[in-house]
Amino acid sequence: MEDQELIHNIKAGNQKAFRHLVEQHQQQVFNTCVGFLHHEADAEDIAQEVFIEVHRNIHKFKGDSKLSTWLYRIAVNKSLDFIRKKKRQKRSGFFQAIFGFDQIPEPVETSKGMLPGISIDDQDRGRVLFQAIESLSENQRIAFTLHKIEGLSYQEVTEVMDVSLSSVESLMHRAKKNLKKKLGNYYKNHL
Amino acid sequence: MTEKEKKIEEEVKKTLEVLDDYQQSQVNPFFFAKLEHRMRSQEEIKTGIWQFAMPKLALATLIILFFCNVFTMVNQLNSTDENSGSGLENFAEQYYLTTSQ
Repeated sequence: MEDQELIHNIKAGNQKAFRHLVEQHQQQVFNTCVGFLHHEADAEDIAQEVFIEVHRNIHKFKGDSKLSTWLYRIAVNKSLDFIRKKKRQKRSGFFQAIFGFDQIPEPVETSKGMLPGISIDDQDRGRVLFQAIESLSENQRIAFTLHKIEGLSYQEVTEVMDVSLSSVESLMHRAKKNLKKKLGNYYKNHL
Repeated sequence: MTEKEKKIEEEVKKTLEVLDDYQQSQVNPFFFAKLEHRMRSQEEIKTGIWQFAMPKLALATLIILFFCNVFTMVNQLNSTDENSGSGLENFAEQYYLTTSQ
Protein backbone atom coordinates (compact mmCIF):
# COMPACT_ATOMS: atom_id res chain seq x y z
CA MET A 1 0.00 0.00 0.00
CA GLU A 2 1.39 3.43 -0.96
CA ASP A 3 2.08 5.99 1.77
CA GLN A 4 -0.62 8.37 0.57
CA GLU A 5 -3.25 5.65 0.40
CA LEU A 6 -2.23 4.39 3.82
CA ILE A 7 -2.48 7.86 5.34
CA HIS A 8 -5.81 8.47 3.66
CA ASN A 9 -7.19 5.22 5.09
CA ILE A 10 -5.90 5.96 8.60
CA LYS A 11 -7.46 9.42 8.46
CA ALA A 12 -10.73 7.72 7.53
CA GLY A 13 -10.48 5.69 10.75
CA ASN A 14 -9.36 2.40 9.21
CA GLN A 15 -7.66 0.44 12.00
CA LYS A 16 -6.29 -2.17 9.60
CA ALA A 17 -4.41 0.58 7.79
CA PHE A 18 -2.95 1.78 11.08
CA ARG A 19 -1.86 -1.75 11.91
CA HIS A 20 -0.24 -1.98 8.49
CA LEU A 21 1.66 1.25 9.12
CA VAL A 22 2.88 0.03 12.52
CA GLU A 23 4.00 -3.33 11.17
CA GLN A 24 5.74 -1.68 8.26
CA HIS A 25 7.68 0.83 10.36
CA GLN A 26 7.95 -0.66 13.87
CA GLN A 27 11.47 -1.98 13.28
CA GLN A 28 12.71 1.37 11.99
CA VAL A 29 11.13 3.35 14.85
CA PHE A 30 12.28 0.89 17.51
CA ASN A 31 15.86 0.88 16.20
CA THR A 32 15.97 4.66 16.13
CA CYS A 33 14.89 4.76 19.77
CA VAL A 34 17.43 2.06 20.71
CA GLY A 35 20.13 4.04 18.91
CA PHE A 36 19.51 7.02 21.19
CA LEU A 37 18.50 5.29 24.43
CA HIS A 38 20.66 2.11 24.40
CA HIS A 39 17.99 0.35 26.41
CA GLU A 40 15.48 -1.96 24.74
CA ALA A 41 12.61 -1.68 27.23
CA ASP A 42 12.76 2.13 27.24
CA ALA A 43 13.07 2.12 23.45
CA GLU A 44 9.96 -0.06 23.10
CA ASP A 45 8.05 2.25 25.38
CA ILE A 46 9.06 5.33 23.40
CA ALA A 47 8.42 3.57 20.08
CA GLN A 48 4.86 2.92 21.28
CA GLU A 49 4.51 6.60 22.14
CA VAL A 50 5.68 7.46 18.63
CA PHE A 51 2.85 5.42 17.09
CA ILE A 52 0.30 6.79 19.55
CA GLU A 53 1.30 10.29 18.47
CA VAL A 54 1.12 9.27 14.82
CA HIS A 55 -2.41 7.93 15.36
CA ARG A 56 -3.43 11.10 17.21
CA ASN A 57 -1.84 13.58 14.78
CA ILE A 58 -2.22 11.80 11.47
CA HIS A 59 -4.35 14.71 10.20
CA LYS A 60 -1.29 16.98 10.64
CA PHE A 61 0.74 14.94 8.15
CA LYS A 62 0.53 16.88 4.90
CA GLY A 63 2.70 14.57 2.84
CA ASP A 64 5.45 17.18 2.30
CA SER A 65 8.01 14.60 3.38
CA LYS A 66 8.11 10.82 3.24
CA LEU A 67 6.18 8.98 5.92
CA SER A 68 9.40 7.32 7.13
CA THR A 69 11.05 10.75 7.48
CA TRP A 70 8.15 11.97 9.59
CA LEU A 71 8.42 8.86 11.77
CA TYR A 72 12.18 9.33 12.19
CA ARG A 73 11.58 12.93 13.31
CA ILE A 74 9.00 11.93 15.90
CA ALA A 75 11.17 9.04 17.14
CA VAL A 76 14.24 11.30 17.50
CA ASN A 77 12.27 14.02 19.31
CA LYS A 78 10.57 11.56 21.65
CA SER A 79 13.88 9.84 22.45
CA LEU A 80 15.61 13.13 23.20
CA ASP A 81 12.65 14.27 25.35
CA PHE A 82 12.91 11.03 27.28
CA ILE A 83 16.65 11.58 27.88
CA ARG A 84 16.01 15.17 29.04
CA LYS A 85 13.29 13.96 31.40
CA LYS A 86 15.66 11.37 32.86
CA LYS A 87 18.34 14.00 33.34
CA ARG A 88 15.83 16.23 35.15
CA GLN A 89 14.85 13.29 37.37
CA LYS A 90 18.51 12.70 38.09
CA ARG A 91 19.02 16.37 39.03
CA SER A 92 15.92 16.45 41.23
CA GLY A 93 17.11 13.21 42.85
CA PHE A 94 20.42 14.90 43.57
CA PHE A 95 18.71 17.89 45.21
CA GLN A 96 16.38 15.62 47.14
CA ALA A 97 19.43 13.81 48.47
CA ILE A 98 21.10 17.11 49.41
CA PHE A 99 18.05 18.56 51.17
CA GLY A 100 17.19 15.27 52.79
CA PHE A 101 13.74 14.75 51.32
CA ASP A 102 12.22 11.40 52.18
CA GLN A 103 11.43 10.29 48.66
CA ILE A 104 14.01 7.95 47.22
CA PRO A 105 14.78 8.92 43.64
CA GLU A 106 14.09 6.34 40.97
CA PRO A 107 17.18 4.79 39.47
CA VAL A 108 17.76 6.65 36.22
CA GLU A 109 21.04 5.09 35.14
CA THR A 110 20.09 2.50 32.59
CA SER A 111 23.50 2.03 31.07
CA LYS A 112 24.58 -0.57 33.63
CA GLY A 113 22.90 -3.43 31.75
CA MET A 114 23.91 -4.95 28.44
CA LEU A 115 24.10 -2.46 25.62
CA PRO A 116 21.90 -3.60 22.74
CA GLY A 117 23.61 -3.99 19.37
CA ILE A 118 27.10 -4.27 20.84
CA SER A 119 28.93 -7.60 21.13
CA ILE A 120 29.77 -8.90 24.62
CA ASP A 121 33.49 -8.32 24.06
CA ASP A 122 32.93 -4.67 23.15
CA GLN A 123 30.48 -3.75 25.93
CA ASP A 124 33.00 -1.64 27.88
CA ARG A 125 34.22 0.16 24.79
CA GLY A 126 30.62 0.67 23.70
CA ARG A 127 29.76 2.26 27.04
CA VAL A 128 32.70 4.68 26.75
CA LEU A 129 31.73 5.52 23.17
CA PHE A 130 28.05 6.13 23.94
CA GLN A 131 28.98 8.35 26.86
CA ALA A 132 31.15 10.39 24.52
CA ILE A 133 28.32 10.56 21.95
CA GLU A 134 25.91 11.72 24.63
CA SER A 135 28.21 14.61 25.50
CA LEU A 136 28.13 15.95 21.92
CA SER A 137 25.89 18.88 21.02
CA GLU A 138 22.33 17.80 20.19
CA ASN A 139 22.59 18.29 16.43
CA GLN A 140 25.96 16.55 16.19
CA ARG A 141 24.56 13.70 18.21
CA ILE A 142 21.45 13.35 16.03
CA ALA A 143 23.45 13.43 12.79
CA PHE A 144 26.07 11.00 14.09
CA THR A 145 23.52 8.55 15.52
CA LEU A 146 21.30 8.54 12.44
CA HIS A 147 24.25 8.04 10.11
CA LYS A 148 26.55 5.73 12.08
CA ILE A 149 24.02 3.70 14.10
CA GLU A 150 20.87 3.80 11.97
CA GLY A 151 22.82 3.62 8.74
CA LEU A 152 21.02 6.54 7.08
CA SER A 153 22.78 8.25 4.18
CA TYR A 154 23.73 11.93 4.49
CA GLN A 155 20.83 12.77 2.19
CA GLU A 156 18.36 10.94 4.44
CA VAL A 157 19.82 12.68 7.50
CA THR A 158 19.27 16.08 5.82
CA GLU A 159 15.60 15.17 5.30
CA VAL A 160 15.06 14.04 8.89
CA MET A 161 16.89 17.03 10.37
CA ASP A 162 15.52 19.45 7.79
CA VAL A 163 18.92 21.01 7.17
CA SER A 164 21.18 21.31 4.12
CA LEU A 165 23.62 18.65 2.99
CA SER A 166 26.59 20.88 3.80
CA SER A 167 25.24 21.32 7.36
CA VAL A 168 25.08 17.55 7.83
CA GLU A 169 28.61 17.16 6.45
CA SER A 170 29.82 19.84 8.82
CA LEU A 171 27.96 18.30 11.78
CA MET A 172 29.45 14.89 11.02
CA HIS A 173 32.95 16.29 10.64
CA ARG A 174 32.73 18.12 13.98
CA ALA A 175 31.10 15.13 15.70
CA LYS A 176 33.95 12.81 14.64
CA LYS A 177 36.58 15.38 15.62
CA ASN A 178 34.98 15.96 19.03
CA LEU A 179 34.58 12.25 19.64
CA LYS A 180 38.25 11.62 18.92
CA LYS A 181 39.17 14.42 21.31
CA LYS A 182 36.84 13.21 24.07
CA LEU A 183 37.93 9.60 23.73
CA GLY A 184 41.57 10.68 23.66
CA ASN A 185 41.11 12.55 26.92
CA TYR A 186 39.32 9.57 28.42
CA TYR A 187 42.08 7.10 27.55
CA LYS A 188 44.74 9.57 28.66
CA ASN A 189 43.31 9.25 32.17
CA HIS A 190 42.39 5.57 32.03
CA LEU A 191 45.45 3.88 30.56
CA MET B 1 54.89 10.22 19.09
CA THR B 2 55.41 8.55 22.45
CA GLU B 3 54.41 4.98 23.23
CA LYS B 4 51.50 6.16 25.37
CA GLU B 5 50.19 8.47 22.67
CA LYS B 6 50.32 5.63 20.17
CA LYS B 7 48.38 3.42 22.58
CA ILE B 8 45.78 6.15 23.12
CA GLU B 9 45.32 6.60 19.39
CA GLU B 10 44.90 2.88 18.95
CA GLU B 11 42.29 2.71 21.74
CA VAL B 12 40.35 5.62 20.24
CA LYS B 13 40.39 3.92 16.83
CA LYS B 14 39.22 0.59 18.29
CA THR B 15 36.44 2.31 20.27
CA LEU B 16 35.13 4.14 17.22
CA GLU B 17 35.21 0.88 15.26
CA VAL B 18 32.74 -0.67 17.72
CA LEU B 19 29.95 0.86 15.66
CA ASP B 20 31.13 -0.92 12.52
CA ASP B 21 29.81 -4.19 13.98
CA TYR B 22 26.66 -2.67 15.47
CA GLN B 23 23.75 -5.12 15.27
CA GLN B 24 20.23 -3.76 14.91
CA SER B 25 17.88 -4.93 17.68
CA GLN B 26 14.80 -6.96 16.83
CA VAL B 27 11.46 -5.50 17.80
CA ASN B 28 9.19 -7.53 20.07
CA PRO B 29 6.88 -9.75 17.94
CA PHE B 30 3.95 -8.62 20.10
CA PHE B 31 4.72 -4.94 19.58
CA PHE B 32 1.41 -4.15 17.89
CA ALA B 33 -0.65 -6.11 20.43
CA LYS B 34 1.04 -4.22 23.26
CA LEU B 35 0.53 -0.91 21.49
CA GLU B 36 -3.14 -1.68 20.88
CA HIS B 37 -3.61 -2.59 24.54
CA ARG B 38 -1.94 0.64 25.66
CA MET B 39 -4.05 2.76 23.30
CA ARG B 40 -7.23 1.03 24.44
CA SER B 41 -6.45 1.51 28.14
CA GLN B 42 -5.65 5.20 27.53
CA GLU B 43 -8.99 5.52 25.75
CA GLU B 44 -10.78 3.80 28.63
CA ILE B 45 -9.22 6.15 31.17
CA LYS B 46 -10.33 9.12 29.07
CA THR B 47 -13.87 7.77 28.72
CA GLY B 48 -13.91 6.86 32.40
CA ILE B 49 -13.07 10.41 33.40
CA TRP B 50 -15.91 11.77 31.26
CA GLN B 51 -18.39 9.24 32.56
CA PHE B 52 -17.43 10.14 36.10
CA ALA B 53 -17.37 13.88 35.60
CA MET B 54 -20.19 14.55 33.18
CA PRO B 55 -23.38 13.63 35.16
CA LYS B 56 -22.13 15.39 38.27
CA LEU B 57 -21.06 18.47 36.35
CA ALA B 58 -24.31 18.55 34.43
CA LEU B 59 -26.40 18.24 37.60
CA ALA B 60 -24.43 20.93 39.41
CA THR B 61 -24.74 23.29 36.44
CA LEU B 62 -28.49 22.66 36.26
CA ILE B 63 -28.96 23.40 39.97
CA ILE B 64 -26.91 26.62 39.74
CA LEU B 65 -28.87 27.74 36.67
CA PHE B 66 -32.17 26.93 38.37
CA PHE B 67 -31.30 29.03 41.44
CA CYS B 68 -30.03 31.87 39.26
CA ASN B 69 -33.34 31.86 37.40
CA VAL B 70 -35.40 31.80 40.59
CA PHE B 71 -33.34 34.63 42.11
CA THR B 72 -33.69 36.77 38.98
CA MET B 73 -37.44 36.11 38.80
CA VAL B 74 -38.06 37.02 42.46
CA ASN B 75 -35.95 40.17 42.10
CA GLN B 76 -37.77 41.16 38.96
CA LEU B 77 -41.21 40.72 40.55
CA ASN B 78 -40.26 42.74 43.64
CA SER B 79 -38.83 45.59 41.65
CA THR B 80 -41.89 45.65 39.35
CA ASP B 81 -44.23 45.93 42.38
CA GLU B 82 -42.20 48.76 43.88
CA ASN B 83 -41.89 50.59 40.61
CA SER B 84 -45.56 50.30 39.80
CA GLY B 85 -46.48 51.60 43.31
CA SER B 86 -44.21 54.61 43.19
CA GLY B 87 -45.23 55.34 39.60
CA LEU B 88 -48.89 55.58 40.58
CA GLU B 89 -48.15 57.97 43.45
CA ASN B 90 -45.98 60.14 41.20
CA PHE B 91 -48.78 60.28 38.64
CA ALA B 92 -51.33 61.28 41.31
CA GLU B 93 -49.05 64.01 42.71
CA GLN B 94 -48.35 65.40 39.26
CA TYR B 95 -52.08 65.90 38.53
CA TYR B 96 -53.10 66.84 42.10
CA LEU B 97 -55.10 63.71 42.57
CA THR B 98 -55.45 61.59 45.66
CA THR B 99 -54.93 57.88 45.45
CA SER B 100 -56.49 57.07 48.82
CA GLN B 101 -59.96 57.97 50.06
